[in-house]
Amino acid sequence: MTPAKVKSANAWLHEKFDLLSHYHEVAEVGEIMRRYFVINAFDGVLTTLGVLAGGYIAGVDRARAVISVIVTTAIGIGVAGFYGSYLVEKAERGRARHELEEYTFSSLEDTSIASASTYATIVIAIVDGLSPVIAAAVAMIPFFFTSVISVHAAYFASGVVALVELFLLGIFLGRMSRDRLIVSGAKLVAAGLVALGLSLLLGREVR
Amino acid sequence: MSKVRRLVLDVLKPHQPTMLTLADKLGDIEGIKGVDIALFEIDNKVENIKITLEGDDIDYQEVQEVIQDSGGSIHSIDKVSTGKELIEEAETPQDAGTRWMR
Repeated sequence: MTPAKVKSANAWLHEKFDLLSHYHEVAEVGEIMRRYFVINAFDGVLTTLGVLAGGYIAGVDRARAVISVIVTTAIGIGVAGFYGSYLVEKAERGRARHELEEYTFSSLEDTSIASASTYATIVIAIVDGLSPVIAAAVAMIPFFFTSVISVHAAYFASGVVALVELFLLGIFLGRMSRDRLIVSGAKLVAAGLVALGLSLLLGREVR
Repeated sequence: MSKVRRLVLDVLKPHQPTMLTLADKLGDIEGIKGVDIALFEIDNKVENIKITLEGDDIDYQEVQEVIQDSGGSIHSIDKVSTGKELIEEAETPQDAGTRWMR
């Protein structure tokens, strides 16, 4: 690649980045994105804790079986999150745009406002879809090391990883709301422990 | 053909993009040397602004495109100045009678 082509590619990337930053600002994406990220990552971790509890009580002792269940469950939540928020955001932003058109007495279809709406819808759907998948993927990492640790130990390690994820999510929330970080983290960990406890209790009853 | 040197527009626009962004985009147009935007009215959805543009050769079409792309609509062209130099509105005896209205 010649220096001129590199410079041209650089300029093009800068231009696209500036454009996306502009859409990000116009569509006020930041707040909604943070909200959906936390909600859905929380869903992903708690679902994983539920799967771990169920697998442990049922005596599932094959790492591949546990990984398969967590992956398929996470994908299900992710796809539901992506499509659900895509359709909802599209509808909501379409409604807001039509309302604004009534105020400005002009069509906003070919404007940067419409483009920003499309950008926001897609980005929010992606965040909504990916956050539970990533959260679940991180929690199941210990099961990839069952050649080194036992499956029993992997269950516990996964549980600990999931609780650490909840703590970090809580810290993220605490930073957003300028609340005490440790307390924020502890609140989400408590929620995770409640979910885990209930799953284990009810799972034992069913068994 | 005369070149447009000053343009004053009455524009209605949504809150986003902000006046800062709009002023920035208008300032980037070829032929425009200065941009001034003043807020007149605001409600929860839209704002009414006065845009003053000065330059050597203002392209009204381009200005209109930038404003429309930002979701704004030009309600009226309140003032236009063209020619080789900028001049101000001349005072007439009739203006004295209406000065109390200003």
